[in-house]
Amino acid sequence: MRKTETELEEEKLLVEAAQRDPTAFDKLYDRYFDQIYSYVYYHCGSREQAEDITAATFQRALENLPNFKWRGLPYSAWLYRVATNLLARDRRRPAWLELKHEDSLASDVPEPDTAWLDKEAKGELYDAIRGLPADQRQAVLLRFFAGMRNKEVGEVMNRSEGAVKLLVFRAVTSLRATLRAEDGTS
Amino acid sequence: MTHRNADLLSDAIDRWLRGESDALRSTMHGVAGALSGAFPEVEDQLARERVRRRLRAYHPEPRGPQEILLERAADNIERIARGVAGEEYVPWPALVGAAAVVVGAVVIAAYLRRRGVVEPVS
Repeated sequence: MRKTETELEEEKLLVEAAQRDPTAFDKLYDRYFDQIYSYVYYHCGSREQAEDITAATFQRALENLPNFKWRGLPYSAWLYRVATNLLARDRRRPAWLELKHEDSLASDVPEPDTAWLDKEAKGELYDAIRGLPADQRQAVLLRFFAGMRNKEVGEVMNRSEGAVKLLVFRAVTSLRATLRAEDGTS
Repeated sequence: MTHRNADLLSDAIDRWLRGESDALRSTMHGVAGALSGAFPEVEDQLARERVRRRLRAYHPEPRGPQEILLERAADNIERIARGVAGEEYVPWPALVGAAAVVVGAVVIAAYLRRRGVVEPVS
């Protein structure tokens, strides 16, 4: 979700501490591992691939730490950008190949806000998301999972705010059409 | 109309991100509402510790600005390639329309120029 000024300041201090002493990077790692791992997992659907790409993302973060310049955006936005680029390059297997409803996230993570959304409906939703073009899927995940503003998503995806709005709109329109078709409604 | 609807959806998502839990309830027939609760954070302690061990064994070599610029250029080329391959949305009709206008303008300009040379206006 959106970060407060205090959280951003805290984040800036953590980045500066890690720039002075790389062992302090552990705190940044602990703070962002779940976010980046989840984002990659929802995007690619494979835990193994999610682990590899998350590891590569944090390796890249360590490499770039001395050059990183604070620009008022959350550090996580930069991590998401690296992960997004790595996801695009990783062509070892098709996206979402391993995501099965029975043994995937839907069954082993808490679902605080989704009691109303039954498992079957959720499976259909994941299927429909899987069918979106990669950039629309990224925009949806960055808005709905990472809780980013259009400007931040634009920074991550190298797009304008207007382009991000349209990507999300097209994704939601396409999902609605897919889910309606599966429902058998017109 | 598309832009207006995109703006409305974007505003609704922003309101939801600010904590208005029912901001997406009726947006786009509930699909946006479904998306708002579809991605709980995944906690995988084993993966977290495995990746931590990999990072500890990794000794980064600082990269120069030129390497970073090259990498960004590669990312942009990659993105264009994905657009051409159809993996990313590209507004082809708009691009083709714009290209047609440019080509048409060049052809007309060339025609008028040639006509001007051959048949000068008296």
